[in-house]
Amino acid sequence: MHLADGVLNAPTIAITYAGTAALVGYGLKQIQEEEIPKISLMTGTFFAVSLISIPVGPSSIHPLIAGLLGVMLGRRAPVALFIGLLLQAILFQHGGLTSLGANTLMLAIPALTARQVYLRLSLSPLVKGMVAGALATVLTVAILVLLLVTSQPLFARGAASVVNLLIIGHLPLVAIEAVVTGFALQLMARAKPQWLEEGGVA
Amino acid sequence: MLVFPSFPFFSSRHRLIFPAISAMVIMSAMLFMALWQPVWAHSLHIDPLEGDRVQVSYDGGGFSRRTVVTVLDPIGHVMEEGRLDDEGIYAFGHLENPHTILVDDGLGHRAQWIVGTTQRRLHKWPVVGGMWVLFGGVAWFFHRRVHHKRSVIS
Repeated sequence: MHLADGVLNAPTIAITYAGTAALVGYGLKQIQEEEIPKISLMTGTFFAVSLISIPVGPSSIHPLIAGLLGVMLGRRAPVALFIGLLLQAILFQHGGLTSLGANTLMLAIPALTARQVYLRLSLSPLVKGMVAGALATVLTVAILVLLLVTSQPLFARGAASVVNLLIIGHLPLVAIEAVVTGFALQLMARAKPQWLEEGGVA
Repeated sequence: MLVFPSFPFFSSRHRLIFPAISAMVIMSAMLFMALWQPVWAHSLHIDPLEGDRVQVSYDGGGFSRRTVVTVLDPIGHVMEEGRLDDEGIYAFGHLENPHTILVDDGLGHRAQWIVGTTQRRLHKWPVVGGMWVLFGGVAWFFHRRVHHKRSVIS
């Protein structure tokens, strides 16, 4: 799902980088030393997990865990995402440097949204986590489609268009992310509930 | 069901174990599915073959028939555009002095290869393991630092 260099046009790159800078700046604001262990561990988890590919038919998808990151890190999530994506782009050329802003924004907005939804739902952590995971994935795909279409409208043409392929191809990921996020957050809520609080320390 | 959040016969410790086991089962299943066909997240690669051909594939194998191959001359002009064959191979030997091969799968993945050069790729597992050690080390360092500060204050 990571966009490579050369896919997006210049205005899209500029706008997404500006948005990412704002979110990362907001995420770094008043950061406490106590939060760094959790941010570091979640960054490492994101870096490793999002490199895994899950075969789905003739294609493959890779986990995003944006919902999990959002609920666990709150407003620090864009920082972890930016660092993880930067390292992937540098080490494995997965994604790109010009598209780093777009890739970060594509995951950060769903992560922050998932966090707000999780906090506002009055359900068990398992169900809330599943909703957060599914919602984050849906939003990520929506933003990806928006970025591709605004850069090159031909992506949306035709029944077998790129947009349709992306949507259909990522439907299994919505289910996978929902299940993984739900169970992970249920475990966290029982073992380390303070980690799910805003600014909770490791 | 894999979890029993409020099953009355289990103690609070068991109620923690079942979600933990459930999470591990889910993650193991994901890893198993990934390792069954050991592919990593799909970045495109161009591997040169004998006879002025290139093999285009995603990390770990496979390719998309939507992939467009563009061949550029030394000054960046497009010499030819085409698609991969049934095996993901593109031949450019009929072109005079090709310089750069660009591939784009139309799904946001691109790759580039300058004809005649050798590409080096990092082995993923060691790098991922090393990064995990790094992030874990950072977490441990700050955890100890905070713990020490609190000890001093108290």
